[in-house]
Amino acid sequence: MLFRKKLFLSDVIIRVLFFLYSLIIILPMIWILYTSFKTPREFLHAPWALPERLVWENYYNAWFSANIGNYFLNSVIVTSGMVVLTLLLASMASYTVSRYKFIGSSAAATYFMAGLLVPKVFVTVPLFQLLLSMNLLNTHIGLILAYTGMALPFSVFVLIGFFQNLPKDLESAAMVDGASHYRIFFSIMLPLARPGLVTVSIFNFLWYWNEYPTALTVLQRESLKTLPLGLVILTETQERAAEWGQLFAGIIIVMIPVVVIYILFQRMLISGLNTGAVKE
Amino acid sequence: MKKTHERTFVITFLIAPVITYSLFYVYPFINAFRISFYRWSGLSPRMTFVGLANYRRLFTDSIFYQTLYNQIFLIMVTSLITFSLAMIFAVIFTSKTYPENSFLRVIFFFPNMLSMVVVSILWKFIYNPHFGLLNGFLSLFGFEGNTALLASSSTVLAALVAPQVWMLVGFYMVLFIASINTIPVELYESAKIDGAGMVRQFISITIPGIWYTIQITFVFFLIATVSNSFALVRVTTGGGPSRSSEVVTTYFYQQAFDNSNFGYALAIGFVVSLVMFIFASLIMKYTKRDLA
Amino acid sequence: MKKLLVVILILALASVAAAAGGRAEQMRETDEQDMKISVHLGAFGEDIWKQMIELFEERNPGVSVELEISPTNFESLRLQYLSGRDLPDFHQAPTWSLDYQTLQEEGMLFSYEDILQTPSPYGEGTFEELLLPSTLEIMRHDGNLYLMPFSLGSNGLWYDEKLFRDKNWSVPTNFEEFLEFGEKALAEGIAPFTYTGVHDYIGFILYPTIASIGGVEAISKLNNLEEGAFTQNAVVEMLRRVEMIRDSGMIQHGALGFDHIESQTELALRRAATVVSGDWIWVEMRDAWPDDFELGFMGNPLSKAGEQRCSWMHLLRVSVPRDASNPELGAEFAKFMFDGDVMDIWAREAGVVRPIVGADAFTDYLFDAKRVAINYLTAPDNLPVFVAFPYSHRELHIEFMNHVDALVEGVTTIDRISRDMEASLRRARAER
Repeated sequence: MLFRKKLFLSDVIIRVLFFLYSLIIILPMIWILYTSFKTPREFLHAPWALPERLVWENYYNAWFSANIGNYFLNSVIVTSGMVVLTLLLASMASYTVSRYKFIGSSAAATYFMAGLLVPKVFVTVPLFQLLLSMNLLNTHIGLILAYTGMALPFSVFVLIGFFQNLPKDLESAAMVDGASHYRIFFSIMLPLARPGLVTVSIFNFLWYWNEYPTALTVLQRESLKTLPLGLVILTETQERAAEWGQLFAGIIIVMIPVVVIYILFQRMLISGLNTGAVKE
Repeated sequence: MKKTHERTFVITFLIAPVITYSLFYVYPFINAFRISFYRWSGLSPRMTFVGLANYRRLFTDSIFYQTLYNQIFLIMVTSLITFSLAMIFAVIFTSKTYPENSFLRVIFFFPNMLSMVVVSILWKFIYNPHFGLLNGFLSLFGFEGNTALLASSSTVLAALVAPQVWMLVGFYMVLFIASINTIPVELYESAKIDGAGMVRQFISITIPGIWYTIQITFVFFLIATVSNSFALVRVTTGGGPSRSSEVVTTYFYQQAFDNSNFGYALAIGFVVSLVMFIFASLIMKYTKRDLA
Repeated sequence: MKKLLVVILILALASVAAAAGGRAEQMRETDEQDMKISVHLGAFGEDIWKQMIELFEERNPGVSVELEISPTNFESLRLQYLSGRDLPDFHQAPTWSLDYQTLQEEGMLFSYEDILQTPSPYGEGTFEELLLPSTLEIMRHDGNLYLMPFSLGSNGLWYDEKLFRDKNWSVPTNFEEFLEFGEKALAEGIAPFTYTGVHDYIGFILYPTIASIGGVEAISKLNNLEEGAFTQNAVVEMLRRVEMIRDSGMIQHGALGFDHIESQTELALRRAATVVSGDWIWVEMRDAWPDDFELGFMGNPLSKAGEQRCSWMHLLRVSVPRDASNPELGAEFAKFMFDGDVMDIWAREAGVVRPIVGADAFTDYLFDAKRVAINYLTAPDNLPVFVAFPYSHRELHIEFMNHVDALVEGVTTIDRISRDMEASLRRARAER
């Protein structure tokens, strides 16, 4: 009885603390949400107060006047292109280096993973020169390729974990049945590694949906720009009145797809990480 | 016959990823290293080879050392707090079965869906000395006096830790949860029979069980913080007051774009990358331990 | 295997197609003249540029102008200069956003000298004679004009006239009065002075103060990176005045952490009585001003009685890239900005006055706050100072402003500032 009671008390403390911590997250989120319905004047005079009335025009203006609609479409093109291409290349690379023993297989794995150990922010200008010489500046495909190059280290790293954990004799059994290496990969291995593929895709989506510096370097043409660039255009306030309501409406619009995808896939994400957890 | 099949397969499968990665990621790095030996404005194609001049300046540049110190301070303090919180959350989410768990797990992850720029704007408002939430909160407990954390060189760095922790805890929590779930439940059950408490179980089962994950995510965190702190510092303080919150990435940006000194900026970039690389490799090497 | 090949082929084709698409667009053939202008979506808005294009096309049949407008146009400009592609034939961007000094030094800009000798677009004489001689002198680089002075601006200290009236404060005109006013404001619980520690606006009053104390020669010493530029009395005395303002508690708590919007909001909310900013403040904060707010301009009250009063002259510049596809037409467009009707529209709709001989003809159209600021600048008892140092030696300027912030915070001394800045001067000289 005594034991049970003690347990109960610590549970209460934990649950209260967790509840308080969730408030630290939820309250600012709610602030962002209701600020998106305020006029700039209300915002500057009472930044934390609730809006007097809901200014839906902020959303209308953000979507149409501030062109968020167009940026949104560009972001969908670039992010989905990047996610698919990275998935294909990363699974090819990690499958070969983790399931085939050849000279340089571990060197290849190290080569990819070394990319994890250096910060990406310093390469934008050399990247600009490269894309310039390849005629890929101001193209979505240029940005997709740049993102893919950056995303490969992490993606390869996670997927190696998955492929290593699949049963060892899968290939030889399939080989006996006469399947080619390519068929084994596409029709046996990829489906088995699906949780890993989903995990990698979600992370890539989360990160590159919000990516700024590389997009800034690759895309100068207004009609091609992605959402993070569009958001910064909304925040640029120097010598110009800040449209705070519109900005926060923009922030909400940018968040919606990410939230939807996360909520849809979050269970898969955790179970995906489970099965793929890398072991020594 | 079988072997040649295998070889063509390996080559065809490796060639596209290796080329993409080498061309769009590794090559720009190498090129950045090359440019660091030049004097170059970044505005015209005109470049002058200056040998080690940029590096010579770097090693005597007190601002560079200051920014490096600030960067390392931010990384260490942020990682320590983020990892401790994430670990506590992960352990509780995996060992307790409260009904609100799955809801809270989503909530805790939420800030990670915002970009760093948005998080920074939010925290700038929280920290505002005259109408910020922090001061409103403190005055509830009788602390008046408009604390201006971002306006003092002694508190600004510490103040920049909170937004990052706020944003990142959920992400690392999810990674830890996933990793803890792979530890066989029997290990905990037999420990309980042996009379081990929560803490004991945590130290002797959980930590070794997820050590590899901790190691990898720490390195990942290290690198991510370098990138994250750029947007954070630029939006909140611009590196001030008087460079007390300047980090290597914002200094890099200033040299490259404000001062049109790309050669020097890339020398900064290279040295920082090298420091990070060595740091990360050492962590990987020395934290390796045998699992029972 | 086949599937894989197909994927690779598609990728290859896609990149080739993208590249070809880019090229095809550039090769559009016309026998008429095309030009592109890149402008900053700032205080002026988009409409006025559209009007300009319409008027310019009307006056020059056969010319068609493409408009690139964005609040981040300078980011694109930087990369357009670097690549030499897609360069506009005329651009306007904020003074702080592009390193014009380097663009000049590296020969990236088109010289206006030829077009300056053509007839003036407004009044008699040549175009050159229309422009204010002092600004021309300042702007010329090695005898060539690359940066066309586009608008005359007046920056400094702003205040709320209504508040001053209600509290019965007289507007300080010199340093002694400024300190007195500070005491009165503090007694009322209002911060007498605020500024942004995140941006470098404080320079708008500090550099003119150096000129007040040591004359324009003191500024030239800075511009020319002369030895002793930071140990000269004018600089040391200016820093002493900063210390005095600090010690009297006049600087608002938390100012060092404010960005420009936050500092200006403090003025709008009447928690601070004055703020350092540029003459764009009225438009920038239009959503924040209370209904009874009356923006007033105090200029620079840091000069002592008996010293020459000096205030900051802000010049917006417009340029033509040398490698633009049609630089002559770009220069023509720049000259068109000085057409009488055009200047009329700018004064009326955007509150912009060009730095020309006889600018007064246009100041009547300006909205109140801006007119007051320009009148302050051009008043007989004021010396307008254009300080090239922050633009031509940005790194040193930022370092100097950082030192000032440290002085305000009380973590450094004037001696240390002089010593550190002199060391940086030596390095900058050696690099040249």
